[in-house]
Amino acid sequence: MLPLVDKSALVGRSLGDLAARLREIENRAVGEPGAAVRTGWVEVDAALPEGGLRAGALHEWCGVGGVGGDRRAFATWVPPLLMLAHLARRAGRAWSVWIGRRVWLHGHAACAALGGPERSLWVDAPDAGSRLWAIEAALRCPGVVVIADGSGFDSAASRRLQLAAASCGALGVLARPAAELAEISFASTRWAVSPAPGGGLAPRWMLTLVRCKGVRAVDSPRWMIERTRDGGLGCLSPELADGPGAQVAAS
Amino acid sequence: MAVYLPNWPTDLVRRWRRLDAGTPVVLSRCVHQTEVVASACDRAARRGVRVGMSLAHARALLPDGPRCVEPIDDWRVARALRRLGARVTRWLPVVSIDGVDGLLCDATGCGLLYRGTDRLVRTVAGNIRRWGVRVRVAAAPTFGAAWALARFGPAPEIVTESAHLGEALAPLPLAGLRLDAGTLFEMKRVGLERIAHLLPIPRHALADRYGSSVLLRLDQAMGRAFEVVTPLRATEPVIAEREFDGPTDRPEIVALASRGLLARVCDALHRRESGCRLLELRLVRADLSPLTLTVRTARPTRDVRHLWSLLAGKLEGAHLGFGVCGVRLRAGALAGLPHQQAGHWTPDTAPEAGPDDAAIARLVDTLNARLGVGSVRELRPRESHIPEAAFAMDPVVELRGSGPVPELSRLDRPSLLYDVPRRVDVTFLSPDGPIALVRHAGQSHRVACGTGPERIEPEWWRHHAFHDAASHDARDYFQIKIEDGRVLWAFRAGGAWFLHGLWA
Repeated sequence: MLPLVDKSALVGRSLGDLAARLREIENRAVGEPGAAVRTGWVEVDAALPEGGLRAGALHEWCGVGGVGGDRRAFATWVPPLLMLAHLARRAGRAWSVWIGRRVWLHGHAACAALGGPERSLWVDAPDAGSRLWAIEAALRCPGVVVIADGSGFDSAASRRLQLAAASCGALGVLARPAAELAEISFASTRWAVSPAPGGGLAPRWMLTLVRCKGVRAVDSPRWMIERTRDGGLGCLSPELADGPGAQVAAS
Repeated sequence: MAVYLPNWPTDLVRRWRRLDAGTPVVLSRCVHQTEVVASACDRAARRGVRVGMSLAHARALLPDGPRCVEPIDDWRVARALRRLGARVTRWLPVVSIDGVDGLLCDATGCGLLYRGTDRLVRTVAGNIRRWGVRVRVAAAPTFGAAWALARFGPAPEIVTESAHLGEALAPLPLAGLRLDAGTLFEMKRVGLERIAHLLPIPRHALADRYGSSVLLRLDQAMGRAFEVVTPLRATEPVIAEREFDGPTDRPEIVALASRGLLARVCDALHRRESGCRLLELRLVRADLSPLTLTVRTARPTRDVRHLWSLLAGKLEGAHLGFGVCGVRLRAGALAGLPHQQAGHWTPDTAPEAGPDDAAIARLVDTLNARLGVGSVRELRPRESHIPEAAFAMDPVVELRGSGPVPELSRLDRPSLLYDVPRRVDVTFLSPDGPIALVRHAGQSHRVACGTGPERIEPEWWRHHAFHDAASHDARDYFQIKIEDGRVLWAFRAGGAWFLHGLWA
């Protein structure tokens, strides 16, 4: 068997070259890298190595709660639905498949965010096992974006889904409760979302990039995402989000 | 032989709705933005309801008490007539659909089987009548004469021999000749009302005055011109079956046989250039009732691999009992599926075009087969401004392309709506002042800002206006932003406060 890497070819290369080579090998293992899906938030896209969410990969969005006591935080967990809908729209695929009742949006918000009621399928799975199976089946279908409730999945499940997404170039977005951020996951990127105070009546969230394959996790970059007046989601520049800039703008 | 169904649409509605014979039935149709009567039953006609009068007038004429007034479903009525025609082929081989309320049948030589044409006529009329449909049947040497006698003849069942054709037709009105309304009106103006009036007029004079169609219709009725009908043709069902030598309880044998049948069925579909949306596998079990496994697909298909993946899942869990004696596979809900050119290169298509839809249809089938029908839903807007009633999640039965997009209100609605509104306690700083505190599930949330109210009134024209019976009052909705940044949608109804959704 031939060696995977020819050592003599690596002598005298810079660290950046080596990183690129490593990424190439990594991509070879999971198949061809698909085109990146831009999130539409310029600051966020700039922080991602491919200029967006990689297609053919799994992305985890953890956090955002419902309204209720802390002891029932899991029972009242609500995924960041508006962000998921924003990503589904940005993915630009022919069909979006929503798996798990928790990620079902209210019709009004779904139509507003996705541009109409058609070309979305809403799948209800009775238990976590069949939900995992359904997500995997959907990820193996070409030309879809899969948005699913990923609560209660272990690392083996995330590995399975990551491989399924890589096999067909589908974009998979998993929503998980904030508590599951501690779990090991094979997802390509992991994001934490939490509600953020301040601003006017429009809802605001703090978005944190917890992990991204191919980027050193020194400090998790944060952004402030706010719902704009036309119903979309926009990224606030840090000067305006809070701090003195906001007060200057208000006065 | 002609079969005429005078009250066909109303008889059908009476049958579908299981109404008793005393209930008047009136069907309406929208013509030039006016609801007019399209069909009325005998009982309604006796009260003066006529086809073409306005629906409001007809309603006024109908007696108080139970009545059935509804719009006519032309498509369904036509389909029912085709089904009736298919049933009539039980007695006569050649049956054709005649307009919206009649059948024309070729009864040549069939009378011998029933010991006389009159018995045949009685059999057909009696059987149709038994289904609760008023019917008039006439047998005559020509289609034209039978048509006229069935509609305008003196009795509901008439048999005419060729020798008496002329005298049977003579007293009938001219409408029996299937002439258009304009010609009939012109003839009536000069006093021509019955077929007998036409017979002494020279043929060239008729043709000059009213056109050659009158002569043709007259000749067709009298047997001097040919007339052809288009018979209903029953399509051969796509069925493949296999009998075993003896009962077998080995699942792999049943699976192998089913796979073979599926290949045959798909082959037959391929030859027909069609696909099926329904597959029924019937297992004939020894000492047990036959078991039918059904597979439905979202789009017509004849893909063996895909259909087998659906069928195999069903077959795994099937109870074979003491053994299976035979299997039978039937493809239903056939639809045209044109052959496709097999390309060497993958076609360069837009992302929203065909191939993706085929893949998504396969996905829907797979999910439906494993998780149960109804697990895959689609969003359907409804005409309502009540938030929980504005959309329905309907099971996907058939995958449609994008249809017309209904106009949605531009109102701001939350992304999550609770199925049942939750009770919350709300504290005000002052009466009718801004909300200061929202208390839910044992936790207090200080309010940062808010807006409202947006009033939603119950829909008084419906019975079930709101989801829960607790709030039959109007609701005042408020958007409330609590201090940690979440935005809630709460409403006040009848003095109580409820949490209905949030922007997540």
